Amino acid sequence: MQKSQKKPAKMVSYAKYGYMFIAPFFIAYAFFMIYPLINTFILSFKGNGATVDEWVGFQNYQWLLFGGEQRAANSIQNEFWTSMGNTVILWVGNFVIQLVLSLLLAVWFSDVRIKIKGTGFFKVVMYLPNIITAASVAGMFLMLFGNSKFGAINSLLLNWGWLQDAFPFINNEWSGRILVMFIQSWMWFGNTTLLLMSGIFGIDPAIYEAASIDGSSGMHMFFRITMPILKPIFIYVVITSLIGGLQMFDIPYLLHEGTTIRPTLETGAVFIYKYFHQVSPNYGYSAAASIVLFILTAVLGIIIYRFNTDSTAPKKRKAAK
Amino acid sequence: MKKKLLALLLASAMVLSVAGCSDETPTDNGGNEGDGTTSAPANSDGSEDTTEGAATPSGEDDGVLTIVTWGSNSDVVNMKKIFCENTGVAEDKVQIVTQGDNGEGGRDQIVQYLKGDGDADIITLEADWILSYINDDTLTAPLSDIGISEGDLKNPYSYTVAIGKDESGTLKGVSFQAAPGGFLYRSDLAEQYLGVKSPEEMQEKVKDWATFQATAKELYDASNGATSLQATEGGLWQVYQYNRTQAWVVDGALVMDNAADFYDIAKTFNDEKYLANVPQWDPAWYAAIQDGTALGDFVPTWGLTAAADSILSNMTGGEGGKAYGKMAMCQGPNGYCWGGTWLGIAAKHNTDDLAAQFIKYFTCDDDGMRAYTLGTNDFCNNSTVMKAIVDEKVNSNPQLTDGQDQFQILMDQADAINMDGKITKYDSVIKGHFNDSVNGYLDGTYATKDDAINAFKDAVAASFPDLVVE
Repeated sequence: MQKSQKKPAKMVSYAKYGYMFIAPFFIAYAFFMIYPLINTFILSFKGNGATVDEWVGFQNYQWLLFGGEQRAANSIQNEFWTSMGNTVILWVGNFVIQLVLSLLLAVWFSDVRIKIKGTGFFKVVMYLPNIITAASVAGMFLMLFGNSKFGAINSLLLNWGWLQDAFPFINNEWSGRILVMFIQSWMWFGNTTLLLMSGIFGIDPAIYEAASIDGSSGMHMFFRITMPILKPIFIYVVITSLIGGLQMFDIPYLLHEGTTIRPTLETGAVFIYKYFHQVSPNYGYSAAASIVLFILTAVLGIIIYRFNTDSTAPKKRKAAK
Repeated sequence: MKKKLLALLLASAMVLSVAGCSDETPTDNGGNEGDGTTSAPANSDGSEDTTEGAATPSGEDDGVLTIVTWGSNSDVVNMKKIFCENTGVAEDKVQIVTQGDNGEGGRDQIVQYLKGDGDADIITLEADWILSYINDDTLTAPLSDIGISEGDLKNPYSYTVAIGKDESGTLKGVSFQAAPGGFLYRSDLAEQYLGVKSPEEMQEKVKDWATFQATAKELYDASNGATSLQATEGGLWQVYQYNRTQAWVVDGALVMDNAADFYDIAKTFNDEKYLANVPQWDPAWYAAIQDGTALGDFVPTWGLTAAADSILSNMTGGEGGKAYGKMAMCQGPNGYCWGGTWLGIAAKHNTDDLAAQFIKYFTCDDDGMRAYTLGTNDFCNNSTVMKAIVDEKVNSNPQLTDGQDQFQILMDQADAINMDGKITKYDSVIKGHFNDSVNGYLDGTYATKDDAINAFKDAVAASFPDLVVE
């Protein structure tokens, strides 16, 4: 008793050490995250090329979103919207396949009645493509699907007589996009499967047992038990995939022969990189495009979140309090 | 046990990362042994400068010559070797820093490097974008800073000197090579399909564009559609663009000049299969030559060197390769000049004496330039030395049929090169956009020539907001 009475008087604050220990992170965070973020905002209001240091107000945004009378303005607007269109196409294409596949696998692998053996092994196998760097994956697919008759697939098809001339798998608008969608799904489905599986494993088996005793079918259990309880994880997967998808860069950027990026694969992030990285520094376009992408991601994220969370949930919590 | 292991791991990670940092600094102890090539007294006794090297202030000699170049530039690697062997400068006194993996990568990334903290003395600059560097005093310094003037250069080809000057006429870049080019082709296939037995006979077959096309047709028919005469659209353009009468940009406005006609030429070539249309700088390019899909391509001097990654070495497959000793050179329909690398001085140069010695060795020293040419098969920027090498018949390229001397073919063209007022700082980017739009026209992305030209102009306008593009 005595001890506890004395303690408050003698209390030494160790908080400052705590702050000191976490300080490096926040310093690094401010330097590498906050400053670039603010600077991007500033840059988006500055010019391009020779006028890179001058304030131009909303001109970059205006050109990107609405174009203008000059050729440059229209050209930038065109390219930006094309790149945004490409981003959406590539994201939807890879996300739908990826989600369906992952959900299916996750349900199968976690189903107590099927009891698949060697789940650990399959998890590793499914996750493996994600470990390979994007550069290697792109290199591999370039070799497989090379445009000319020297590409592996092309040479096979030509040898079998299925093709008369080499098919430009990468340069062709849709086959190129399908390749990117396939690579992205292939690289990321393992990751998504693991996330969904962990969600499903968190569901109380007793519920399934009760359901099966009452005679409900697998389909029924999936839609009535698994999906509703999985919703938070599901939303998390959708939102992270959306953010990742809108920033899709590496594969679309790498998947081309010769020296130029394929215009049909140019995503928003590739657009940003392209203009940022030229000798005539077009920082303004890049920064403005980054901000537009940022706002878009935030808005879409919020919408998805709102649509999918139970609107009565906050009220319940309040009532409980 | 686990904790101990973890602690050990973390500790070693920390030590390694610290070591990694100090490795990045261009100065290492090798710079202090001083064999007479450094002039800085501060360094002659130096021992404590691992820290000093981290941010060597400009103007202070760090004893190590840093050459900034891009990954695929094998010229510089060979130059370092030859320079160190013949002058006795220790190899660790010359370090090569690479930025970007090819010329375009170098164009975009060397500027970032120069704006950073890294050490830089000599930088390599490509013809297509040298002007954007030498006209910026925050990036490059005049060669007079390290004591090299125009008069010191030994018999340079005049176009190389003209390109190396900035807007005010100050010499800021010198080239160690001249870059005339010719037509490189498979001599065995030429004999088989065209009955051509020597480079002279081949030249007759490609002496002008009309003959070139007729030969292409003959070849395509004789080989039953297996072999096209020309491999790449990019190579064709390099030769064609030499006939431009104006630069890409005149008075701040884009000038098409003869470029519009090239869409038709390329289309004809592609439709008639005179063109194999494989992408440049791609494994398919080299494969097309090796398996006879294409008879040849236009290649300049720097693509004909002995380096393992030169265009020629890639096409022949190197010693024992499929086309080794089965290729030959002729002049082609018209002479041209393609690219070339210049040596410039970074604004933050600090190892002046060694830098001067290096540059002089390859541009002002007959013996050095001769050693470079004979050692690498590159075409040095010294007309007298080149003439002597051709006259003495001392050069023989083992990758070419019967050890043909490519210099003999390219000699006259080197004298004739005139690029006056035809290069701009925009060239590299514009050339990229142009070839994209031509290829887009060939593969059907753009339905008409006008669409393709429009797309090209759009791309240029977007890249250079300062230019007038009508």
